[in-house]
Amino acid sequence: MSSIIRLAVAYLCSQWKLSVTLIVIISLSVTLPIATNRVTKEYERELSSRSESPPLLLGARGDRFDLVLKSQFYVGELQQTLTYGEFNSIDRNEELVAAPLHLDHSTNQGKWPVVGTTSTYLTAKSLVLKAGQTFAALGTCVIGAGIAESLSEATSLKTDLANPFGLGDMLPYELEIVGVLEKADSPDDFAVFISLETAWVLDGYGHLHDESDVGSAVDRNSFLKGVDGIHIPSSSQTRLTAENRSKVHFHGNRDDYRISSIAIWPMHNEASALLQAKYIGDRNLQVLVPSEEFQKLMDYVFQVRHVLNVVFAILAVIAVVMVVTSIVQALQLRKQNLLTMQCLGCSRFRVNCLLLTELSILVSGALMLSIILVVILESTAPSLLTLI
Amino acid sequence: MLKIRNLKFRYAESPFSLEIPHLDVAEGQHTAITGASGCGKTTLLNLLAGIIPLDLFPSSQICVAGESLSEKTEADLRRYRNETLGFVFQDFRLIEYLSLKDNILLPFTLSSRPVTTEINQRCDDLIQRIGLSTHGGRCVTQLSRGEQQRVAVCRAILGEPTLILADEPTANLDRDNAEGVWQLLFEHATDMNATIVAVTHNLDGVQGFSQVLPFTEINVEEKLCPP
Repeated sequence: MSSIIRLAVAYLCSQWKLSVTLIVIISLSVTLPIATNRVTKEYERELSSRSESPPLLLGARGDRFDLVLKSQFYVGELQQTLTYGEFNSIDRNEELVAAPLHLDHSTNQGKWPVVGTTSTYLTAKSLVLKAGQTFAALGTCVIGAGIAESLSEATSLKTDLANPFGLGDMLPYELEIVGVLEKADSPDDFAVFISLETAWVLDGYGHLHDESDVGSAVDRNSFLKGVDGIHIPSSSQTRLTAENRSKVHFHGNRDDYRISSIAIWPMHNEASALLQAKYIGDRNLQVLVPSEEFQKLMDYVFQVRHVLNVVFAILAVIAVVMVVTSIVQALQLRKQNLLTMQCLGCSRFRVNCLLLTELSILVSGALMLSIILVVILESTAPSLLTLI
Repeated sequence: MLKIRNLKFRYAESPFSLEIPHLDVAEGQHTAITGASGCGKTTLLNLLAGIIPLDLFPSSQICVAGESLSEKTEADLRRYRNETLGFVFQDFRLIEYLSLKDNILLPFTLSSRPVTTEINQRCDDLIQRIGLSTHGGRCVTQLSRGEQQRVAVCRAILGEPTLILADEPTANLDRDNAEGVWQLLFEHATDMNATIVAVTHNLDGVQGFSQVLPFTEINVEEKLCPP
């Protein structure tokens, strides 16, 4: 048998261009449908697991998918926002557990979202601290397990400049890492959690002053207009410490401060129904059930998958025709070789074994390549999700 | 060694006909059958090798070492071609994607005969004898035509066959290369007391055949042979 394998390998090596082409064709016709199905299934699994908690989301009226995806996956800031006052009115309802979400900031050049919220959010989402403490103090943060693995020794994180040109904007703040969450296999692993007050400091609602700035009469921060009078925040103190934390002060009415959305866990179905009913006719706000929105998204994905499956089936037929044609042509070219083998005393069975071995090596090579490709595609699937 | 009695053969839908009533070749004898191209010499060798079956001509008889080819099963014929026979083709019939050595070992690797250390050593000796010891791992397409035919002869004689059939082995070679090929065949046949039946249309300067038979003499259907 080893001699047959040796002869088969020798032939395939001599025709390496044809062999590689056949391996790639077979591999792709196998890989593409498998990978697509697995990636969409992974996408479906991710979406459905993510859609369970929180069961309700309150946000400003606008794109429904945008509100759900950004609130659940922390993939960027929402164009339409609401105020902290809205959260307060929801929070007063004892039949609801609510947590505000502030999603306007990021770190590491936008790779890691900074989520301003309350400890209620972590508790309601069963996000458990693996080490350290929660983000109660101003300027502190709790990081997901994925970030902790990437950072290893780092003790702080610098927020991104919201405006890339830095004009009329707050300088990046340094957030002290005080806690690390347990691995959750979700976008929470790559999120930085801070208190709502810290998020408002990043917005510029709250800040410190340099001694020399006191009394100055220039407003460099346009977003503070309408909130307070004339003021200069410190341009040098961008790290909140135990010494300067007490000197941070906020301007204006907190109820007017901006938040992105509100995650809501109703105590029972009736509370959920009542809340949804309350906002049905509201012109500014909407209550969404994430699982329903995700289902709509999945229906769309399934339609795309059906179309892709038809395309892959056509491609597979073309691939089979190409492979069979190539093999038949190769056999025609090798006809004399195979006849010579029989003239030298080789049985037809052994010749067939040789051809089958060559085919098996090609198919094995194609399957190995397929496995590698599927593994690569699966490992990059989460980043594909974030692209969506 | 080789006996032909009442051999009659014709291809379907072809005017070609072969009829050899009687032909004997003794053991160790070197016989050349000469004739013009297309007169049926290759057909005769294919019949002697059992490549063309004689099923449709039951009265025809070809015996090699006392055994009739007609009575052999397909498996017996394969064994006969692999172990008793050495066949040298006019167009070499080397497997172009295999190395020189792998080509010579091919009758062993294609059958159930093991490639023993002894066979390996014999293969190396043959390669050395034809002056290609530095080319062992090379692909046969890198060799000259003369070298390729010498490799084909080595493939035919590696298994020490008792009957060597050579089909115009030097037809495509120049005089020097042709001499080298004949010399290799005769040396081996003499060493092993093997019988050679070679068909050729040109025997210029070739010494060593114990009998030379014009094809037109042994084939009584000569009138049908092309001129």
